[in-house]
Amino acid sequence: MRVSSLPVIQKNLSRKRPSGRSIRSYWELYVMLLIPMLFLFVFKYGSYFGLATAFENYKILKGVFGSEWVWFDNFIKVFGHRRFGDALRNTVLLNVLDLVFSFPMPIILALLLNEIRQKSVKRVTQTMLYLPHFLSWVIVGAIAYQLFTYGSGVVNDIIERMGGDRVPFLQEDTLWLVSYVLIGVWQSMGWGTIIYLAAITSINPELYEAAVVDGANRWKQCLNVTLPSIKPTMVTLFIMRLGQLMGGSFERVIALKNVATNEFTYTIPVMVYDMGLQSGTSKIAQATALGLFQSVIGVLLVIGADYFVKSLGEDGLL
Amino acid sequence: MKKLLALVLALAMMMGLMSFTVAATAENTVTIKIPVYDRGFEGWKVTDNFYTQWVQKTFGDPNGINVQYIAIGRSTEVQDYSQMLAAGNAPDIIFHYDMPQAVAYLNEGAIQALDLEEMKTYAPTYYAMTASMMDEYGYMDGTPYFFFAQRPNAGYNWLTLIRQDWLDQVGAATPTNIDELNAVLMQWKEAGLGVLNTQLLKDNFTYSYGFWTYPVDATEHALYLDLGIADLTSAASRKYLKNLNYEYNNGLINSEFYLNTDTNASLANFLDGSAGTYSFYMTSGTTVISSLLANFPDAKVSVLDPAALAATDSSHYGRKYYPFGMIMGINATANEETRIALWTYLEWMLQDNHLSTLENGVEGENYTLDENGLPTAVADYTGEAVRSNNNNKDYWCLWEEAARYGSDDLNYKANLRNYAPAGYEDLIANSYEYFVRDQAFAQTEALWTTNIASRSEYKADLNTLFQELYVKCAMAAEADFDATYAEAGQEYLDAGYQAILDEKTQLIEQGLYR
Repeated sequence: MRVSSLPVIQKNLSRKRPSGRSIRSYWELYVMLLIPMLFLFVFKYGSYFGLATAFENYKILKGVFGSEWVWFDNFIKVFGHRRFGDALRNTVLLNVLDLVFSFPMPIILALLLNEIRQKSVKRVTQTMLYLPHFLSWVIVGAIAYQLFTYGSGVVNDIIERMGGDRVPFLQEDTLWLVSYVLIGVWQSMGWGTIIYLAAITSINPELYEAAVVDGANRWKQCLNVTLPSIKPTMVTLFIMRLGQLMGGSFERVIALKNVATNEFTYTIPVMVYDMGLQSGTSKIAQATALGLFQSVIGVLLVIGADYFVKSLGEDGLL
Repeated sequence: MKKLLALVLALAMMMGLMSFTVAATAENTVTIKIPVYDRGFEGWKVTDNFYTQWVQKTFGDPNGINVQYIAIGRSTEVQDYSQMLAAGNAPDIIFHYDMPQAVAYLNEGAIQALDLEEMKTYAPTYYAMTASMMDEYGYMDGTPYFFFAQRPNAGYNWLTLIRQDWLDQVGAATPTNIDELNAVLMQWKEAGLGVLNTQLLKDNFTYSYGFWTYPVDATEHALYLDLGIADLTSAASRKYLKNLNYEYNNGLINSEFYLNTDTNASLANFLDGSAGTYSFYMTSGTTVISSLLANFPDAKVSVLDPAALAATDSSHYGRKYYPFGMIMGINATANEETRIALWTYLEWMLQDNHLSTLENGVEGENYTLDENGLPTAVADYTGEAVRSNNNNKDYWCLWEEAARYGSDDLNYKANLRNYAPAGYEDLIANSYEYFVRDQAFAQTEALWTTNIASRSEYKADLNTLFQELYVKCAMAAEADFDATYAEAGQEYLDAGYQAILDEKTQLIEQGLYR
């Protein structure tokens, strides 16, 4: 039996299309909808023309339409860049690690939260887990350095007082990688549970009743009812996550990196930033080419993953 | 009721989105757009304040000119300018403090050639001031593009404070070269005091200046010294890094100096007593000394001899400024009418007491004149004519980089007051002595009379790479320094520095530099 994973969305989809009458009676809401729509078109679709710069010898004063068309020159330059290989490797590495560790955590956490029966405890726990999501990476980075630096970090001070040796959490390449992943897990896991908890709430209680009748304990219920029921949600989020494999968070890397620990910190988003914003105006076209490359890979990964899960008999995303 | 609220909200948001400002002055026929740095001073509106309104009233309205100030973020100026140039609404003056970026704007096509006759006609006084600097530095490939503000020789408020009480405690004399300084640092370390304040190098690469051996080879200098790109492979850099490596391995500097990415981090180290030095531009309003005394009531500070930060066999302890301050060009899109209005504006600034008003404010309100005729700021003035935190410099920097009072002697007297907090004039006096002593040896980079293409191609890349490499060299074990440095140098050359050196060598052979 298939259980719908995104009940709210699907319920809405199954509704009739808005009739002329409903538009007329709720017109104020549609007017308000225009604003985010306008935002979407201006900033998401309007900027599509700018992608043309990836194929141009772009000069800001000549503009997108006046610059010389050079086909794939920018791509050749970017792919031939001394550090493109590093950037590619690090981007994939950081994001795969993130996928492996950050992706399952919200699911596990949601299942755990679901088992808490005391409502007030659940609420307080959830809120505390959400909080890190609202901190910007700049703040998280600053806190991380206050806590974990080798020389003066508070955590290291405690370790030393307790008789241990100081640990270069952020100042040794491999440890940096571990810290990067764990800090990411901490920051995002609480917020990630929301969508799973919503999916769990919509599971038909009769399934649990049937499981109890069959003699399933809580662990078996979780394994055989809850998990299969939220599987389509997991698949959807997984596919969307794959789309970011070539991108990932620029702020997170910038906030957590330091110049002495640079084995894993040069990523594609950092490279785009270096070219597009740090190099004056001369490399905007190359930065665009790199960004376009990153997006195309992202789209391909999403389509490929979607095709793959559909071939396994799942719902997919598209 | 709810519907009404929704309607109001929806309409308000639509209006908000669509609203745009229309220039209010219809009777003024020309609009000039003047750039002004926005340094984020609290409570200061850079484009609309007492002085901008005063300019409009005194200069704009009588001349039929609408003066519009355009804010340029001080720390984001190149991005800001680039975006405005792309959007076609950049100021009519394109300015920057350093020549290579000014040339980069020119290469983007943002700057038009100057019509010198026009300038002479409409801004004769201004032209007379800037003419010799233009002759010397304003031409690119034979065409005049840039004009310049003056920079009076007054950079002696850049100084390094040192904890005199720590020197006294270990019984050390004031160090006069890097070896003596290192010996003092070693004594500090043994006495459990602090370290030499060290910050991550970035943006302005003047670190090697004190490590050149005197006298220097002029072409060597032209080849390597570059404010925007570090000269990692020069002999001077090697000496600098060797010393840094020694200091790092012996615990004379902060073991995590590369985490000090801004001056605030260094300041914190100085104020909490973990470091014994701090370099900054001192002004009368500084709170550095008072904050230090709040933490350590017995602290004493003196000015560190700049020679203490230079190699023993070197004589030039720092960078000399060019004789010009702001470098300016006219926006390529400005037409004749706009240009004439611009020249008129620059000329007006020098007439009557306009410059004094911009610099000092209103007499009897912001300041009074003392017996020497020098303006003395009224303490804690908060009236409507209040000036920006840096004495309105971002408005009068089109003319000069530091206010002048008629003679060197008066300038010095005024600067003692402008630069030093009350009671600490000795610090500026000391710094001035060093400044005068070192003038003959201070060095400045070559100015190129044509664009260096490889420079803009590799600059950002090399800047990032340099940080990684020099930190690696500093942190290598002393025995490994030579190998680490050699490897770093090769990587740096391969990453584009060789291409820059090659292009510069060619230009030097053609004589395209000053």
